[in-house]
Amino acid sequence: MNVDRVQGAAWILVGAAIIAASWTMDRLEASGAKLHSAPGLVPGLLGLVILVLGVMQALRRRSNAANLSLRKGWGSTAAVMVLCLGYAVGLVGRAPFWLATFAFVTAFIAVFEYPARRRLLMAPVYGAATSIVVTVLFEQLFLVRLP
Amino acid sequence: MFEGLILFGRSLAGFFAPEPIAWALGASLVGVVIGALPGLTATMGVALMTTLTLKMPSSQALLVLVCTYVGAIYGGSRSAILLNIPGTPASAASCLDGYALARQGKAGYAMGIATTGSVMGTLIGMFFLAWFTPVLGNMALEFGAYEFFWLAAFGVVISGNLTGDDPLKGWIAGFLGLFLATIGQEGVYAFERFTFGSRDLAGGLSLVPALVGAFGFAELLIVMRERRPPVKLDPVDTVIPDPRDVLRYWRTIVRSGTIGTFIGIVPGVGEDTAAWTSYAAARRASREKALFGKGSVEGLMAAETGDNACVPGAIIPVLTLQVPGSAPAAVLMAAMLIHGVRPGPLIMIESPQFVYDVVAMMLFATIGILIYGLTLTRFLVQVLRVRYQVIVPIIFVLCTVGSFAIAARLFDVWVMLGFGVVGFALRLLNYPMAPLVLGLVLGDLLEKSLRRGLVLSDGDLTPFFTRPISAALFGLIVLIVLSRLFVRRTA
Repeated sequence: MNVDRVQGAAWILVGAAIIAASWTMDRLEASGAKLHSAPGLVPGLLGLVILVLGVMQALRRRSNAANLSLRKGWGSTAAVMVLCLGYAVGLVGRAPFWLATFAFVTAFIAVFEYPARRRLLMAPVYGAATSIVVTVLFEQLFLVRLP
Repeated sequence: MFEGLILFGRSLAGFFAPEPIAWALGASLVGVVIGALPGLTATMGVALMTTLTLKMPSSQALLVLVCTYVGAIYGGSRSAILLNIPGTPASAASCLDGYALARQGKAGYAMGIATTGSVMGTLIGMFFLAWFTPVLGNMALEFGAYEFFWLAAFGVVISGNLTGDDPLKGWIAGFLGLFLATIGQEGVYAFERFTFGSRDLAGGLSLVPALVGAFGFAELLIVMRERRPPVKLDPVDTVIPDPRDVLRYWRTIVRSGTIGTFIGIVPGVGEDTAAWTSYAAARRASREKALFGKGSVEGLMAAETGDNACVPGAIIPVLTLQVPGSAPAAVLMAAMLIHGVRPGPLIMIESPQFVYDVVAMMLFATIGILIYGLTLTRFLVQVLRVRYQVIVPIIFVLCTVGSFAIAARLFDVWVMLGFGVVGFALRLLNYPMAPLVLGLVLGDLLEKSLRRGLVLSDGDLTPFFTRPISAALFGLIVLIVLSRLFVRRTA
């Protein structure tokens, strides 16, 4: 399958959706707005440009060799996504920051260092150190509120 | 001339205290370390440091950011020379001759040349920053809404054209960035666009969390996907630069510094293009063409001078036109706005001292990289040995806290995550990030200028094409697009 054609089609859809949303957007004529000052004008024009570029991409002929690298590395990507999203969405703001950070860093290192025993043992040390340093650094030195 | 020197002297005196010097040296070190680690870029470093410096006085915060920026661009040469992996994209050209020299047992000498080139490049860029900013600032006073509209469009088009290897994808990324900037309340009627009833989205997408996501989280995902094996390094010889190299290659240094600076001024193009262009120009002019790619000192010097000269160059349009010359400069510009500094055409009238403050910050950064270039070889070699499994979660914690710190709301953390995932997907599909970032930064300028221009002309489009600067910028955009679409590219 031609990857450019698929991506081009996706951009055509994105552009068309933006144009449709901009076209149906309130033009605020009741507030005295003219067509050239309507809120949907600029996003609509940008949607049009994206749609035209999508058409150009879909119609061109080009080698797809660069996309072959897409096939590898999905296991580690999925693991990183789960760990990072679990920390940022699931833990931050719900658990105390120091605990969330300790758990995240420890779990991350443990998952990716498994089964190296010595490095696994070091994971909670890195977790604790990161948790303490980041908490102290942000709250005391940079005077930033933590989540 | 003398007024400029007096202002520069005043800026230097202002920073000449223990605390700013300590911040400058610390930030340069952070920059060098971030730059040296393959996968972590200058943009990511500046974005992360922006979130860390929110509560600092503006002059110190910007000093930290400028030093991080310069340090990161320099730091990239370490891994380019020692591992044949560019620490940042800006150092890709340095791999060719830097690594070849290292394989000949001259890794220390190569690092000394990289230090010399980087220092000379930054100094040349500093000269142009001090000299050319007032000139461009005066020219920018002629710019109105029509010109700024085309300038924003030109920035996205040229950035899409020159970053990455596929202009069409670059343009798509750039216009996507411009569109994302329109999310939230618009400036004239405060009408909410594409917010889907979300109160958080009504304020628009915060720039810094978006940049931290696109350059921080996305880069971490790429780094962990590639998972490079542990580094093995050979012993390093002396890293003390030989002053005779400066005399021997002074033409190359001046040429590369000038090329690097002026490529920096072009909106959104950046350091990697500056390095490659300087390298190509040095090769064309060299008497030792055959040595290029096989361990040419001149080639390494040209690449390193070019990319570091680009840093001050990229800041020139930030200060005068509010248009960033590179992706890290875009983050720096966002940081300036957060800290209440208003760059733009009026800067030489309202706050000329600030321009020379930035020049002084560059000087401190240069001193920083010179010190670290001479003293920290062993330390940086150790840094390169640190495993990514340990670095990545720590940096992700900083990305999360930094995004939250901007406005103390979790929504910004989600923005960071969203941009990280989208940025990762776009990178895998070979869409460059620099035009996307430039689009995000320039979106506001483009929209305001277009609508203001249309209101001024009562909907008449003619002034967009008939005013001299507007017509020139429009012509350039058409020329770039047509040249890419219809002129067959040669290898």
